[in-house]
Amino acid sequence: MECTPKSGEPWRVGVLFSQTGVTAGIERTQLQGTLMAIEEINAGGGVNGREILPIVEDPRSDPALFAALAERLMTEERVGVLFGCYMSSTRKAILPVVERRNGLLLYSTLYEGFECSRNVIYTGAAPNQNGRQLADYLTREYGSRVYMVGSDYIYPYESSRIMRDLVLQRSGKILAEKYLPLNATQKAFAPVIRDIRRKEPDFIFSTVVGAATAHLYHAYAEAGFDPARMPIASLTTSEAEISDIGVAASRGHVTAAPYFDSIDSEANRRFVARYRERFGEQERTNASCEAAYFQVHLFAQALRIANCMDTDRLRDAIFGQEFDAPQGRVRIDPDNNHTYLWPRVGRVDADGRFEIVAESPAAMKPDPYLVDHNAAGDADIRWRRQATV
Amino acid sequence: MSINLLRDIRSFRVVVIHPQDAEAEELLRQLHRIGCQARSEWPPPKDRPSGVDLIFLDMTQLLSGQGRLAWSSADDGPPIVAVLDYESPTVLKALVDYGVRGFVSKPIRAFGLLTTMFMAHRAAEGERGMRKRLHKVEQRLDGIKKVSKAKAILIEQRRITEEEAYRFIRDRAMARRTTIEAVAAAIIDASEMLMAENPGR
Repeated sequence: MECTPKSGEPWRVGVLFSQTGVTAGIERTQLQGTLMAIEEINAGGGVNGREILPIVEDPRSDPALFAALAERLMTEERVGVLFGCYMSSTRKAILPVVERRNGLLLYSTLYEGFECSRNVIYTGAAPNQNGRQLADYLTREYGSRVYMVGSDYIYPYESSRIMRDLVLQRSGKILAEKYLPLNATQKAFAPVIRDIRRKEPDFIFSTVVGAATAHLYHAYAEAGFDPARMPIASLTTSEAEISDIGVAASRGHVTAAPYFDSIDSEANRRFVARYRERFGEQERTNASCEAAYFQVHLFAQALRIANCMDTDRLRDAIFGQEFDAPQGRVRIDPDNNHTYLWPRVGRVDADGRFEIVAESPAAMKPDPYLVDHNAAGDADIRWRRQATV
Repeated sequence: MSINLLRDIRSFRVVVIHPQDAEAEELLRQLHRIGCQARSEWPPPKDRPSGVDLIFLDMTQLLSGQGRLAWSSADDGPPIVAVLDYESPTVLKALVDYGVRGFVSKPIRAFGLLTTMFMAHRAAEGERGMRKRLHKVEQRLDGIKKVSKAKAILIEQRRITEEEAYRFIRDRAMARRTTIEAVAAAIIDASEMLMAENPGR
């Protein structure tokens, strides 16, 4: 890969987030977070006097297109660093391209773990940074009879496996485990809703992802269930999905994530304000957007040190880098290319904002190869519950 | 022995059950270079392919409820080598469920393919051999138990020694040109018949 560009020339980076297709809703926010961070860095003089120039492509939620565009960016556009991907299938699709050409992908989405490519930096939550926290909160507050429903691919299978282990360890019971296609319609959820009514779980663990998320929440609302007694709990339903679902059908449901736009800190307030100013007052930030944002800043810090686009030098430079992200101070873990993040649990209030009902007082070390989430030490669940009104 | 196995691999009939994409093409190319007769099949066949020596199976699509295959590796069937892009617990469990004997990871690299096929073939052969031995040993153990029981019956009924009982069984077996175990089984059966007729004995 091109190392130092000629004097004055910008640092060229590739950006691959879908602007159309099943996961465009959330990927658009990741694109916006990326662009805003780049603009901030350029406004501050760029990196070592050179601006960052994003080359943006729309892979349309299609893994094959992700691969083709990554190839094009890395060969024709001679780009060595990519920011992108939401679904694991798209990350897996571009991995061969990035590895073959020794590029660097910065991946800002929560995922199922069990990966550690030398050519990827992972800034989204690994399963040990959200699953256990969610299970602890739910079994304490609502009970441990669980109904599981998700989209039909690997991330939901793995998340459900972990939730199953956590629930069973807490003397709970799994009442069902159902998977629907990514493009499921609302009608497709009708049998699931009927089954839920029959089985009366304490909470519904949903790993439904993308556009179908709204269908589940609407079907739930139409069934007249009460979120105060049987919430839908998710790792992926964020502020972006709430905009789709609408506040009425979102209220009372629970999500675990390192970031919510309601985080009460100066850093977050500034982040949210700037985001709305840049992209529109109705726009909301979310965990995937926030990770897309802070990973650019971490990258810029590394680039400042490496002063070139050589992947090996950038990787060395980014290991151990810290940044005051809107969620708190985050750090790239040199042990595994993942990121220390701040686990939180939020419950949607009457205004459609997440009330943070539990948060970790410390950043949690990522452990992407953890299999038994019950075995993790007490230190991992040092957390303090905020008073609920 | 090992060289023959390598020669065997060059004549393997291989089926690659994988979506038709660049990865499958790369795999087929390398299989052809190795000398195998390789073909691809997608979607996965409903029945286990016959007339093949080795199966490559893409795992990702097979994890879901809809994707699950009705068949897996058979004891005497061709070994299955998984083609993986994930190695999370759900995938590992699927490897066990499908009886997979080896894997190749994506992106497909030429290096490692021959080794994996070789080792999968060896593992399958080795297991077949073990199973045969185990079956033989189990049969022997069963036989020894039967002979022991038959001897006990004879000792009690005829008031003879163990050695005499054994000779009795062996002589009968030789006379009828059958096995000691078969005679023992007949003695046990007969004894049980007689017991049934005289419950009080």
